[in-house]
Amino acid sequence: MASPFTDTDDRILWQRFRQGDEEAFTSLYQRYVRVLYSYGKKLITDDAVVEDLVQDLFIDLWQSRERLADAESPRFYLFRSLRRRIHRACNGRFNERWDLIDEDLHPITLPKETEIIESEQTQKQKDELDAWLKSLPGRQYEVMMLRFYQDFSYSQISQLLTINEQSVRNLVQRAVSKLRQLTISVVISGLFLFLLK
Amino acid sequence: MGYYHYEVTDFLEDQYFKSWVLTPSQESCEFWNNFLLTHPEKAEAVASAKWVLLGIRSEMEEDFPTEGQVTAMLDEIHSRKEATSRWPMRGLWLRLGASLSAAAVVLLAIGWLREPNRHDNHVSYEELLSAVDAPLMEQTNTTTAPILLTLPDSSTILLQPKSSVSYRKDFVRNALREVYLSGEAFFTVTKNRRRPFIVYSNELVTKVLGTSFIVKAFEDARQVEVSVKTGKVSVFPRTDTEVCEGIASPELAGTIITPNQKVLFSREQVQIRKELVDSPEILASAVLPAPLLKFQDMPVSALLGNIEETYGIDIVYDDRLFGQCLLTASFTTESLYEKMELICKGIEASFEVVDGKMVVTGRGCN
Repeated sequence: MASPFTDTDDRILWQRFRQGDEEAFTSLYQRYVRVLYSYGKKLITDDAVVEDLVQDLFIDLWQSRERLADAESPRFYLFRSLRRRIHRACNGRFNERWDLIDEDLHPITLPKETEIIESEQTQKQKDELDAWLKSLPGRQYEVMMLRFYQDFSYSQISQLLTINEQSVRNLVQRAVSKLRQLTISVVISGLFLFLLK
Repeated sequence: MGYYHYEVTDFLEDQYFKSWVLTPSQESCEFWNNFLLTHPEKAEAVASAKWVLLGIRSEMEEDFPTEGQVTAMLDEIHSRKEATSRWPMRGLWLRLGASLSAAAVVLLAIGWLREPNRHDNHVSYEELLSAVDAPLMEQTNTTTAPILLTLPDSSTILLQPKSSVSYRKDFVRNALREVYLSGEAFFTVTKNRRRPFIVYSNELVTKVLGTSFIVKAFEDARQVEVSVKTGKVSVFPRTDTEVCEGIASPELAGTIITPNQKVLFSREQVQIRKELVDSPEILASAVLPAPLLKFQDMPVSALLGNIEETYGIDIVYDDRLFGQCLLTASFTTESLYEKMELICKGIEASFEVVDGKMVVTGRGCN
């Protein structure tokens, strides 16, 4: 899973870091920099901006360590502050891009080596599924990613995106039902081919 | 477990299913293979859910920073984290502070570089090279024909006669792709957003992310010229305080030029002027509309819009005056300037090029 580290481990690191333990601070960084960065990359296309925002996040974290509260889930704390930073950066200079990301197709590079069950229709099905992931609007993709890759709870996602929990569930449902339509059409076209034979 | 009534979402939400897909163990493999054998009707849902998990994971991992980036970012964090802790300076201020200090460093470097002839604004190729503290590779074209060079990142340089380029021997490992030029060259730069490509030529700095362009910067010439063939480049004078920020910044800062535009940098006045290239060409692109060749009673606004798009230039005109003028004509091999002349003749207007844009003026038609 995306997070091989438990929240308990994180909380211990977090406490040590708040007391000024640089080693704990570096461990938190090493644990989360990759997922935070790639999360940022989904929201802002520019590598250097994402790099800046992630760096600033950790710098500010260190500088304000004495004022920080105990975090129930440090991972959630990090994601939330990165997302806020991105939002802020977007409100100023990247406004348009942000809007585009919410409404438009998600810029996605397709996984090449993902194997599904081997069968004659595998390739076709895989293509359809690729297209599905590719066609998800930004927000649906973000929710899918936070729920099924980052393992955040619905309530955490609703706080992250500042929308209510039901909306988060709806976004997941919408993404999945789109997938289901696709799958059905693949199955039917497979059946049809079979009948023709 | 009641997996037989599970749908895609249920599988996705199930921790045991997830752990099988993402970190399979022998035990979970046996369980799920067995489940699929006894419930073949669930194969579709299982495959979809599995694909979703794997698809999103590989999607996310594709954007992971490189180990080099992870280390570089950590170094930066460590070096900056104590810097301003007494001030509640955050976010933007912090960045601004950092870039100002970077600006100071580069200014110092430039100051040092220019010390030998303090009253002379000119920066020569030799001076540029002497400021580089790494071993360089140099290529000089002493022939009378252009020669084609390929850089380690597979960017190419078509080097004109009496011209030289240098680059660091560790070009591949350096964070920026930096090239020093004396004379004229046509650059075709491979795309790499992480590593901007910078050309230093006399007092002018040209920064690109991936594109093709020409730089003319002869030692004894009075101006430096940069023109763009494809993509976007940004240029700034070396003296500019923007320079360090511009090079380091993710955006293309400074004066931005797009295809069919060029900038002239006057070495005397230390001034950048934007113009159109001498003979603008129609951009080759699959996404742009086709150039209009034959048209009948076409509103001028539509025609100018088409020219703007196909040549990638800006045309400034008063829509209230000219927008509704109708034209009928056909173009064959006219150049941009000839086309503009024909159009202007038709609507009794005239045009000039100001700051890289075409400005159309006249009384309009009613």
